[in-house]
Amino acid sequence: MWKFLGKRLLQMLITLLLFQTATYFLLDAQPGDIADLLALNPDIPPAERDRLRAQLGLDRPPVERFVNYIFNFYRGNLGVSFQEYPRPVIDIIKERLPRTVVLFLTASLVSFWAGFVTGKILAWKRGGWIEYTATITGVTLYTVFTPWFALMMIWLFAVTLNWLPAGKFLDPLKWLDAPISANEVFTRMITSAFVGLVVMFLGFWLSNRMPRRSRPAVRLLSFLVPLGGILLYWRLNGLGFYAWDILRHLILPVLTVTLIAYGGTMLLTRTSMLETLREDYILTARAKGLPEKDIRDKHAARNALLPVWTSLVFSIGGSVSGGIITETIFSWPGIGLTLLNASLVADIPLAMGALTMIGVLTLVSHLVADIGYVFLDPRIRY
Amino acid sequence: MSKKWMLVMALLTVVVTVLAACKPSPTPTPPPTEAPTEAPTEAPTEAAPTEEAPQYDVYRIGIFEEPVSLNYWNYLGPGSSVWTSYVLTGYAASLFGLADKTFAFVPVLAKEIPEPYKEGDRWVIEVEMVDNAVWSDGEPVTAHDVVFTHNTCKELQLTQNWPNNCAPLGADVTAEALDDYTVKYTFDVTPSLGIWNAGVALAPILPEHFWGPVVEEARSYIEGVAEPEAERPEDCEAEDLSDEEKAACEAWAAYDEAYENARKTLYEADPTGSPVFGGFITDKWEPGAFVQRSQNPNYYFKGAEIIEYSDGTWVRKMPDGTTLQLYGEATGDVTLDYVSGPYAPNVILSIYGSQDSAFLALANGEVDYVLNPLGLSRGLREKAMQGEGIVAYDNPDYGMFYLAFNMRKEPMSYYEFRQVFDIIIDKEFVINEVLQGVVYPMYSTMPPGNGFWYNPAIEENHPYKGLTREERVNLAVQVLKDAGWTWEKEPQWDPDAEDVIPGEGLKMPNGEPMPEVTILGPGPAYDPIRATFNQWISEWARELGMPVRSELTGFNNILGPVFVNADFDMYILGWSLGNPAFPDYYEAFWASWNDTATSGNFNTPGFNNPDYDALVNRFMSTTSIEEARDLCFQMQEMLADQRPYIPLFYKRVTDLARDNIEFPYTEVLGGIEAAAGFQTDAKPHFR
Amino acid sequence: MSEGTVATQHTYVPLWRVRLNLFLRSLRTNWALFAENPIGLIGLGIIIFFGLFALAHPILMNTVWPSKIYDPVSGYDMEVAFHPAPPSPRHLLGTDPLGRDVLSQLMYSTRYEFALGILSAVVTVVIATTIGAVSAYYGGIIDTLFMRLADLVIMVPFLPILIVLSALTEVGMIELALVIGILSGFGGTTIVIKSQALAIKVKPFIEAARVSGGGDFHIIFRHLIPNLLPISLLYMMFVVTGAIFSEAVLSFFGLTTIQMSWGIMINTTQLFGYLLRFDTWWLLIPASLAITTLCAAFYLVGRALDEVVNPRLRRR
Repeated sequence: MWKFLGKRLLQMLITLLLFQTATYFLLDAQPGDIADLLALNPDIPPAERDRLRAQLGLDRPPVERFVNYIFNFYRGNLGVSFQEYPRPVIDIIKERLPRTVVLFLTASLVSFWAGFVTGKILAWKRGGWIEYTATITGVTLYTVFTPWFALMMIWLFAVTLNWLPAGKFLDPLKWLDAPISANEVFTRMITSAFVGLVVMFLGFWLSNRMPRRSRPAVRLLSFLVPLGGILLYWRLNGLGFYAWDILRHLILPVLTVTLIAYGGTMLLTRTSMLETLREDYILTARAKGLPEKDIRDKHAARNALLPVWTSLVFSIGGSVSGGIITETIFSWPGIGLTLLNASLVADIPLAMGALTMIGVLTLVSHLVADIGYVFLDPRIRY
Repeated sequence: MSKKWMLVMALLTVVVTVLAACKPSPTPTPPPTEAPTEAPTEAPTEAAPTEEAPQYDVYRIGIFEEPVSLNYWNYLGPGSSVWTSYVLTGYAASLFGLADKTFAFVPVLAKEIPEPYKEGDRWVIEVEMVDNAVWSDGEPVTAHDVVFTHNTCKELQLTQNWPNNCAPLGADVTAEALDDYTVKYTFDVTPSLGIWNAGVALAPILPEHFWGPVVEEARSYIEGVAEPEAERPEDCEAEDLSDEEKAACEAWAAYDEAYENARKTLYEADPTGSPVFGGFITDKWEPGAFVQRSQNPNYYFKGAEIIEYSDGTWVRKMPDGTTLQLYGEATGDVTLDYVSGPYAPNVILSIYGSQDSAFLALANGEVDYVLNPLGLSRGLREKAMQGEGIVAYDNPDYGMFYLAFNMRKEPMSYYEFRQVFDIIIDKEFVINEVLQGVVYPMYSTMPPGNGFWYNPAIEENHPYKGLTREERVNLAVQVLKDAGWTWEKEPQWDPDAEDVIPGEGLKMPNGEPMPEVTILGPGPAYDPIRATFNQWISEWARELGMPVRSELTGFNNILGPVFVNADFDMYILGWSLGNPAFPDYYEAFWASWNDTATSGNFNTPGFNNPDYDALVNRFMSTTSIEEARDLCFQMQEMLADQRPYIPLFYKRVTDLARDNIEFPYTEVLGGIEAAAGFQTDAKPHFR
Repeated sequence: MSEGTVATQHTYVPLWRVRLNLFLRSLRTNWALFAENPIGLIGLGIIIFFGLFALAHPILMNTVWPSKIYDPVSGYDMEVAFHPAPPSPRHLLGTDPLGRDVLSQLMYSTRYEFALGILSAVVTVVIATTIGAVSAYYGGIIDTLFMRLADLVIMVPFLPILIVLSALTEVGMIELALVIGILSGFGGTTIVIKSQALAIKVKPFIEAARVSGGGDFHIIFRHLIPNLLPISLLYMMFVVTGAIFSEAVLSFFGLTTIQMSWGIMINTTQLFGYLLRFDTWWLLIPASLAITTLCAAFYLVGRALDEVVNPRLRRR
């Protein structure tokens, strides 16, 4: 296992390096740099432009710049944003990465879970209108033009029903007297959710090692305790009001990304289940007269999960892309929106930084997916 | 671990993330009274709609991009952005300023307008300041602050917009505090309008007692660093550098780095808690969400009454009764009369991710006013106007969109070639018919909105304005023929089809066929207005048999050929014209010494006309505004005749605001958002 | 699926005829399998509809639509007082803010969407099939190299790269098709095709070809690749979906230099401020719906083909 992990990490690092190399030189080959953009400001004399070009290192040969960039990158220095000069790129990314991670993580998990459950059931109920409706819905969600879908979500929930706010990630008027910054609240939200999750996980893990009879109680407890703890925490620290405001703004984007990612998983689970159902052991299970639900959930689904989980690896890229589009439409100031804006104004360090972060995010998700595989498939031992 | 656990886990993660902070309690910091009772999954649907409207008296302004930094040094340096200007307006003090609406040169902290005099070989201007102005922390604003800011700008060689404040047009300016409230400036050249009125006099003043230590630290980087004696080598990347050149390169690199470190220290310094001069203190910035400003209790001009008259008189009555009257006898109608704020206790600049969402917010009543420097599209305007009590204020923008010719190349170098384009371009048609009036046609290189400098004769006497399509075609053909151009098949007006039968085989006067030329310009995705003009212009040119092609492309692909290599045929772009009080762009854009090809400056057409150069020289060095105006009129005429640019249109600035916001004035060049008073002097009437 | 070899025929029927017959027979059976699944038929129907839609445009432009008014890029209708105008008999889907006919734009763009999708799919399939066949056939270092490369390419976040790339370069239809084609050609598609190739490689007819003296090149291109085509065709469908979608997103963000496409139509809608206006639906919905349905159609056909190619999915 450790050897596998080490090998995988090394592979990731190489991938990242190749990825950075490719993107760096692709971007570098482009016409026009920031100094040219500054040239549009008649207040800036040309001598200043040259100076700025030198300052930003744009006058060095590309290979030298690249080597510098890579060395600096792995020392945590991603350069300085052209656009927000002299703000370090790493600061901007630190500020925005958590927002994207939350959006992405929540959406991936919910959609995966929901997609798997519905896909499983749909495979069981072949034919008839349910199958076609489900397929059509799945395909539509899978292939829908994401920006349009996001707009329709705004139209439905924010404009027509007026249930949820349409953009931004908080309501400024509620934050006038806020004792701490929004990012701080956000970080605490993530931390509390994470701690709660870990506690739950431990509880469930523990319950598996308990006598069968006491399991339900332990499980219920390990669900309720962290939940209650989190609620109590926010109640007591007096920041719940602010956390709720952020949360409220989070719902619509999360829902959108979730729905987009859901279609693919659902369709795939269904296909995978159909394949599994043809296996001999399912026939055996039926012959033994086991209840259908048991066959479905215990025999078929467990095996059908494997390819779906593999597909998670493929769909991560999709979720990231969907995330960028969603962030843009919902004005959600995460990495995706940053990437788009930086690209549009040719802020190369920031665009590179954001792109690399998205790359890292993707790679880490892949690693997690790989590790998850070990847990899912007892036949695999690394 | 079984599959089931995985599923449960996944579910839980979600639930918990959703729940992580899900205790809806609409009052901040309440004591825990009762446990939340909602089921977790219902939370999202329950909470949103019925929350009480907040009871703050807040003037809510929508913006849709993040400010770059709240550091004023950075703002005038590399971090300049219009969004930053919105959150920092009124931050710095200044000795002089521009009057509302008329842009006349008026004192701010100076007591009066001083006269320059000569002392030895240097020009001197002595400015007396008021002695009772204070920063927001109560410290007085003194001559030492003025000198401090001036010297910092010069000593650290601050970049971008700073040189215009301490060394405009390359002049050598010194500042010295004669006493606490008197500043003495000396100049090595005549303090002309460009150097004094539009330069040093308007320079910002920042508080020494706050920034002194930061500047001290920055200065430590350049302590003892002297400019290298060797000249700066042209190209330090060259392969065959001699040892001397290498040494010079290193010396210069070290020198540049020292200054860069110094500047960076200043630009990166934390501005939190810095005292301000203007009406609002910028005290909180939630990145990606909002900027909060609160009233400056010590604002010097609070309660001052500003009155302007139609004869140009400008009057300021301070609350203590001191009155300053300039530029006239206060005859004629009162064109402006307001009392300075600030009125709103708080200003919130709410950051929306896009124009669309900002205007949706305006329509929904989430903000009172949206600052929109990008130009308002029709759809957004209509959408926002559907909101309750929304008022639209239309003003001309101080900018110019134009077609430029590369006069270094044939056939653009032919006078008649450019003239023909002036003839065939029917601006009114494109604007009124195709674009439905989203912009205004422009004839002079000065936007009509800048009344003082605008030469109305250009448009009034424009020879081709209002011609029909047929007249344009016939005239263009005639002009080309007279200049010796020939066709294999001459273009004809077909009266039955009401259209042109295109010409073929056009030859230039030297007998060669006209080469294919392209009109560079932004594509429809970037700016449909310019793209539309581009397509129509090339279409009209093709009808005359000219091989003209529109090349609609990305912005980055225009910059290189136009501003760096000066290698293009024609292009369509726009300028924002800067300070309306002194149009020094007549020098920057068309003086021969600013030719992009030779100097890297902004004379992109390569316009090289000794008569024009003479005019522009006089224009830049005069100290008389009347003479400058006369010269400006002459320059406009010359440009309208020579046509290095053909002005196409200028945009309209539309400010949309709720009717409970009372602006001090709403008719102003560049729109309300570009005017000084939209935050400080606006009266929000809270409901 | 076509049979591998006809070496044992004894009657004097020309080889091409045998092949044609076999091909037609397999086509018939495969069509029957395909037609069993209404989902595939729906997809095919939509694709055919869009194909006709695209073909109809030049015909209409040359007959009933004067180009001054109906040209999708530079047309303008002066007789309509205000643009964007709602749908009317004159403009069945209304006009855009620049006074151009939305239906004409929609139809005109269709051909480019097809061209883009098919070009990138062909690029992908040519690359993926060649690499898949070669690495399966030779194995060893070539295989490792390409498979590692594929592993890397899979991990690359696709759209972000396209965004950055197209923001900083001039990206038109062809460049976009090539980039998409190459990226997907070296990525996941290769892996799937290679595993299929491995299965074919061990079949007796390959052995037979080798015994009868066929060279590597001959075997790969005459025996291996033809048998990979069905699965390649299947993956082509998915690439088309991806390509059309990517183009639409990039154009929507205003990052391409394409003159007119469905994505550009939505971009124009946004530029003129009609994006969040749901009363001017004809500016947003037709183009979005076209993107969605055409993407879905190719995906549906792909899925139906999947059931043909992959017998385990069939019902029975």
